[in-house]
Amino acid sequence: MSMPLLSARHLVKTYASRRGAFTKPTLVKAVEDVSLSIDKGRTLGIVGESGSGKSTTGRLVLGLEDPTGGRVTFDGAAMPGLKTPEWRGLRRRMQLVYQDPLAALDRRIPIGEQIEEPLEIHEIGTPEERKERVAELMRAVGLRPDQASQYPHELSGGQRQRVVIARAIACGPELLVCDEPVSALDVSIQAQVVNLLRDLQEEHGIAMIFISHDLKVVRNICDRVVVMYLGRVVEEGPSDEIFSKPFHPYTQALVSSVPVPGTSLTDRIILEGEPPNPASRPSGCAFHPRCRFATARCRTENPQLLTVAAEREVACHLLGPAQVPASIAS
Amino acid sequence: MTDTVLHSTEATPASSKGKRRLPPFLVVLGFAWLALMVAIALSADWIRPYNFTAMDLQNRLSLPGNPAHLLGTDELGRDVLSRLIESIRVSLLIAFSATIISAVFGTLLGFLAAHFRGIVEQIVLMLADFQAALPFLILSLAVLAFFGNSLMLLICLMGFFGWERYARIARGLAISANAQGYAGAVVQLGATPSRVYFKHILPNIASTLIVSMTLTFPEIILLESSLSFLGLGVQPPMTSLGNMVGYGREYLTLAPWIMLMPAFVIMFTTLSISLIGDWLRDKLDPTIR
Repeated sequence: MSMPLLSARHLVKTYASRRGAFTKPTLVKAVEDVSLSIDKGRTLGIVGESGSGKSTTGRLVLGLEDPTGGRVTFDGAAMPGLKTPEWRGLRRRMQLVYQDPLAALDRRIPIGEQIEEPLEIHEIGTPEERKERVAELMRAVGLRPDQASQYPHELSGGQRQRVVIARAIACGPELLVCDEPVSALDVSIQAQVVNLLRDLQEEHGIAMIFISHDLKVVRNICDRVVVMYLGRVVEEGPSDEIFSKPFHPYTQALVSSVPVPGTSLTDRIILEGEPPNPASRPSGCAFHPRCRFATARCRTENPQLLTVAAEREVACHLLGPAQVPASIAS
Repeated sequence: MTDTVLHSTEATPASSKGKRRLPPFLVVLGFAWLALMVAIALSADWIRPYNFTAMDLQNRLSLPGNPAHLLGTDELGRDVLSRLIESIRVSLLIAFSATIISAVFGTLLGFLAAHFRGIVEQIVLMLADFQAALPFLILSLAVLAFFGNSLMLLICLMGFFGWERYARIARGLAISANAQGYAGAVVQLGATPSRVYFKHILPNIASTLIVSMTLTFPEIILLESSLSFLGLGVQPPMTSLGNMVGYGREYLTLAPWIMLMPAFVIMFTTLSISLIGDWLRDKLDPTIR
């Protein structure tokens, strides 16, 4: 097996939040001991609730933030320091697609120029070649080349997201991190954008990390899925298997919440309570206050991520290596 | 005033060239007034009927409308129109230069603070607080008392007026743009800081800065007037609008035109700048065009 395109080992990101200048800062662990890797041309999904640290993980693997601990390796080399020239050069090989395209675009610059901007920054091609490339990119994402002179506010949400995608793929990146790329869009547009991302990925062999809370989309597009809860990975495995046979109680609840056409939502698992505050993490397994199967051990001891079946890892005390208790293997 | 009206009818077709809609009437008037002021400032040497220091002792304190002195004369028989023309030149020079110095300096410091954060930001903010807390007039008095007086020094001193507003605006907007918005996205594309700040952030915050400039400009004119009024600004025999108001005050009851003429010029110029600034802010924003 070849080396993965990107691998992250034991990433930790801690934010300090201060109430006043002289109070002791409270530490918030947004991401705790997250390891993941992705091969060329594959898609990895990261799912979880709001505040589970999935976006922070995305930013960490792109090197947009320095991790507090752990390290990221891209194509065999360690991630260079934030905003160094090497770091800037690496941007043409890895790109981010934003959740809110209107915020990510400069509202004073016509979209054609914005799509051209990465080419200009990385000095790719002559001005004429760039213009051609912009037209080509716009066609590739389903925009008319004559829309190049329009401003972001003159486009619809779906079109704006296409502009963001066109800009992200302009330099031919090897890795694309999509941070909830469709959650701000209408359902009818979501499918178009997801299909666009998948087509582009297949065509250009881009590795993709797809961050979303929308399980239908993740199931549709991803090869592997990482489920996060409060900054930790609770389950990882191939997408189909995780959705057809979730092991972790949290994943089970998530999967059961996806409606299946033609069936009523009878055996839906409703999670009680809000996700706990990352600033005051519960002891032991962070999920235990909401878990249906929580035992005394869950309250005191943090479960490790263990391989329980082929290519599947779960962090749960109820699931020992290579065995799934009948009580929760539904 | 007939001058302005004539000028505005001339300026209308020129300013609407290439644009579909004409700016509002008041803005056209503002542009016309400013154009007139600039024209006067540039051609002061040729258009003033007398030297601004020339005295006509037989016609002291003569009323406006006098065929020899259109706007009358002051207590030394100096022609008010000539002095007004020279004052417009000096005051505009000070106000424009100082506004630009203050905007450039403040915006740069604000960007530095936003870019480096940490200690640099603390220092810039401390300086801004210091500047805001200290009455500028007192600071100016101290500086002028120590370093004497020259036009250059006065311009540079005025250039320090109001920079802290630009610094705060630029810093705040740049930080927010970097944190989540378009600027963060461009950084992520691999852009260098100078590209991010000057190609993206500056055009986006320009409207706010321009509005701030249109607020600073009148204040600088008034500040220069106050300093001149106190005898620390432009020194006689040089003259400025504030200087004229200051010295004309003594003859307010006897010869009000000495003071009223420059006062009207100050008022119309600051009003024009405000109107234009307000209109420009809307004009520069493509989202509400």
